[in-house]
Amino acid sequence: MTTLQSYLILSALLFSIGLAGALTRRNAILVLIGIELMLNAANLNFIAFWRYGPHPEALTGVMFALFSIGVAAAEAAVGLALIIAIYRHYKTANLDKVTTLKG
Amino acid sequence: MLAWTIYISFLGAGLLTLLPRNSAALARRLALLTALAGLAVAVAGLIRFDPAAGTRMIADVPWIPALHIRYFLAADGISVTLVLLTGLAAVAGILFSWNIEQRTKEFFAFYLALIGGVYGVFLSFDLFLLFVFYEIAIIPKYFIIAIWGSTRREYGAMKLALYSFVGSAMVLIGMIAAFVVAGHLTGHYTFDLTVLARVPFPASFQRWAFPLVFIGFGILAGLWPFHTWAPTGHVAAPTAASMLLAGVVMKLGTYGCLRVAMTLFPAGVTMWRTEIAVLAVIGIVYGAMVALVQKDFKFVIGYSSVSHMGFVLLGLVTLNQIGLDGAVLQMFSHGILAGLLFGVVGRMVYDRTHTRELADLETMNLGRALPFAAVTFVIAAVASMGLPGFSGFVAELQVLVGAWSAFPKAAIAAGVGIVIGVAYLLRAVQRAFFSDMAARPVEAAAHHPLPPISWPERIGAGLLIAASLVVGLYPQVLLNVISPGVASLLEAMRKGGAL
Amino acid sequence: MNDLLVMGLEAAVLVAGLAVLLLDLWTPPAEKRNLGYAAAIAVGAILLASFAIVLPRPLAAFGGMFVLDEFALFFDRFFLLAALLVLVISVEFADRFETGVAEFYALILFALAGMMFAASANDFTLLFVSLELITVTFYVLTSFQRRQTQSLEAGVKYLILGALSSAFLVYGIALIYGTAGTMSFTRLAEAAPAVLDSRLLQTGLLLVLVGLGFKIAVVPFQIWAPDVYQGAPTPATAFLAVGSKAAGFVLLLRVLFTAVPALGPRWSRLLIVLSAVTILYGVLCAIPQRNLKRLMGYSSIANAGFLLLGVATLSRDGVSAVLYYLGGYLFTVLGAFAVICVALRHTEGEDIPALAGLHQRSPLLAATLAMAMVSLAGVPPLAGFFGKFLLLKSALMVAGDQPALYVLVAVAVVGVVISLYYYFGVIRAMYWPAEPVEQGHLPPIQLSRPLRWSLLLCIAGMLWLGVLPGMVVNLANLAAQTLLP
Repeated sequence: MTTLQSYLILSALLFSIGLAGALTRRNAILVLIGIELMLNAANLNFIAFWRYGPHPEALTGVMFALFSIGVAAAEAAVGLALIIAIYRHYKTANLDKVTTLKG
Repeated sequence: MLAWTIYISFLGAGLLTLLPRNSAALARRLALLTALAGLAVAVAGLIRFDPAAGTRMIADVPWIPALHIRYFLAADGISVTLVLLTGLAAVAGILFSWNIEQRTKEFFAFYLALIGGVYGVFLSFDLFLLFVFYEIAIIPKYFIIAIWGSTRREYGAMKLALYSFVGSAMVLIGMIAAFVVAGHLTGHYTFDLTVLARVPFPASFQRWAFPLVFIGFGILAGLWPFHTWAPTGHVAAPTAASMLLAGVVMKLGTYGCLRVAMTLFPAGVTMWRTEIAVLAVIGIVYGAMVALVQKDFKFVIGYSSVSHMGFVLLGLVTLNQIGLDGAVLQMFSHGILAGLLFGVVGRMVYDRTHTRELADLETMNLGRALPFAAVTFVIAAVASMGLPGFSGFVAELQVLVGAWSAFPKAAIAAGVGIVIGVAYLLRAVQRAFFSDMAARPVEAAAHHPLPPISWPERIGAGLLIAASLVVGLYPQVLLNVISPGVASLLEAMRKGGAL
Repeated sequence: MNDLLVMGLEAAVLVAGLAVLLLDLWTPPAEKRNLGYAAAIAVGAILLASFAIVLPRPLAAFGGMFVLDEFALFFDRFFLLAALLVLVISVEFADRFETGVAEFYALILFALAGMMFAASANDFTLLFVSLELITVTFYVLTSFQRRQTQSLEAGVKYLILGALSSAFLVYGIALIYGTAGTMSFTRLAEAAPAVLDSRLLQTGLLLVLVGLGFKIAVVPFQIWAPDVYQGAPTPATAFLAVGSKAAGFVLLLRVLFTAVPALGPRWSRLLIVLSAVTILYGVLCAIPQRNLKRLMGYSSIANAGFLLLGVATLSRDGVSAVLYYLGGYLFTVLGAFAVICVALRHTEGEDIPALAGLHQRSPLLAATLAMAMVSLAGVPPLAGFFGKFLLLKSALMVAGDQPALYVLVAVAVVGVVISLYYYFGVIRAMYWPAEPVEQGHLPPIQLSRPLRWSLLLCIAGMLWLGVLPGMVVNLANLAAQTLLP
């Protein structure tokens, strides 16, 4: 197994763990953490592909990872603010309780 | 010049929406004026129409050049006849709805928009344009029934709208398919009906395209078993709308069958004509038999429309000159007579007695209370039975003669339908107007005399009776223009592989 | 040419957004809502300026990451016009925000910039960044009424599902980058067939499609749409319905036709199935709805299905039809949401029966909503009909090579017929309600002048695209030609 492959497997594992967390957890914060894990798995992929790819001198992979980290931070900031607001109204961060909209 | 029928109607509809809110009287007069202007143009068009010259071009300008869609209006004898019918029905319908007090201007605005769409369909020779007008005619119909209708109006209106749209969806697919296939075949993409009619569509394509388009239009023509919208729709509709529905809108269906489905796919007609003839005959007999047992006066007329439209459909698939002549003439005749019957039932009787139950009407001695209504209905009924001297006779006779050579069994069954037609009409006449029970004095009727028949009603009825009589006594006035049109259509169909 | 000059339109929008934020500091509180008009004027000016751009050939910036071609320009104008109308609607809505009106306007402008970047994206990096710029902005816009539980709930649902879908998107881009070694659409198109055949790349593309499918609310990534449409402030919903959906389609078209044109035929079956399922889901679920914004949510799902039909044809005609349909959709949906915003403000919720008697309170509002419904139902002579006609035509043109399209066309037509039922229901509720309303309960609605003009613009747009489609058809053809030469 090459180094690249092992990184890819690690990242796939991370992604799956994150996805499982996001889908099974009911607490909004834990769901967000799961999603962050998935994003970081993708970032790991970018770095691995860049480092072991044919053109490590072109910084595309790193650049994307940086963008992705920045975007994830923005997403987390908005997300946490929202969850706090939700918590103020519902006194819970459990997503199953937040169900006034349906039909 | 005939194009002005379209413009006048839409212009009138537009003007009506601009009127101030409480101007019912003005709205009525404006609507009548518009319809009369349309009728005048239609009559002038008929008089000036030269049958020998073939199809007359009216307007032809590019509309959507990217798709080769043209604003192409033209008229042959069939179009001219049906435009005249539309003009007559429009005027009569307005006269029969003179008593509409609720949202008068909106009612007539929708009414005229519907009329404009109908004129447009009869005059379009570009398939896309025809379809657009066809759809424009459906929307106001929904509103008129849903707002001003009576019995179960929302159900009736929605059912009618959904049936119509299923039909037009089928037509739309067939039409685009014809456009695409013709384009692939000839390299020239067009919706021009005169060009498409010359395209040799492959038989495998016609096998499914023809029934798709024919049934799509046939739904609006009351083709059995897709007719069920017709009775409920007619019953739910206000009088003027039932008159237009039966009088004109159902003709859009048969006109589409002839002008689009049969002209474009002549080989398809040959493949399917027997099946369609069977459906048409079932419609004739079934409609008549159901009409025989109805308790609601308006349902009797509603089902009679299904029966009479069966004659048109049967005439169409005879594929011979006399049968097709008869079919077109029957469209005209039924348009006039159904309008008259609905006018009597809906306006003269229902608006005064507020009941359409034959059992209730029996007790009201209407023959004496409303003699004008009784006489009009009797005239309309005998004309509709096919009594010589009225338009119905010439038309149905021609259909039967044509059918006799094409489908003898169908002709016999249709003859049975005529006999049943006599029975249900006599039953309706007898129970509604001349019942024995009427001999007994009824308290309510005695104390509240029914309002007399008004002048607009008399004029409207007179107009329709006169039209039926003229065509009945001297059918050549229409046949002279219909026959050449039918002949050239038949000629084109033969070249295209029909029979 | 200078890179910044090529993206001048986008830069101008960003500057306008920052200017609104700055102006907010010196604007007295009573005047703050009028900043929306200032923003709308700025957007209008940029829209006009966009017509001064002549493109003899496509321009590229930042090493080909950003392209300005007729296709991008078509969508730039589309997004600018949409934002202009949304800003006018927002001003009507402004008094329902407790604070931060100016921020709301600025966020709309930032989302607009994101959409315009998306229109020009020619690289997975820009695709991701522009998409996230739109999405993150919309998280905030959706939950802007932060004392309303509905708005918050809509925001959190959108956030969770949106973040999940962007995680898929990023992972997918990583796989594509790993296999092809590039993120540029142009260079990916030149990649060797062996690369395109690799399973890793296909998985990556599939994950990217998941991310885009979420934006355009295609089944099975549609779950958020009805809730978010219902809960979000009406202007945000309007922009979401038009702008965000169109941005999703712009990127989908670029990826399919610029990045991986060779793989198109392999995807067509999948696209056809998705389109059919989406149409049926949208129309069937819309039938029992009582809340008008929720109904629009389901309607937008169904419309995503119709648009996908055009994409599934994989032909220039199909792309052109998609562009045309979106144009008509803009006027139709924004007209409808403008009416919803004004007409249903005093009623509890946005239930359809609350529309009763609208034609007496304001004939213009009733007429606009009625026309919007007729247009959505696909009845001539309005824009919606001609758009659906073009879509069906494009599908039948190529159905000979892909017979599954015949089935899709039949499904689409069935969908259209079913949809009539609920669209007409809205019209019925306005003009002849089940329970007649008393005259006294119907105070006339006063319309501000900008709103009146916007409504008239929407009506004119619906009629224009329905009756005289020639010019927009040509524009759409031109734009489609740059994508599929």
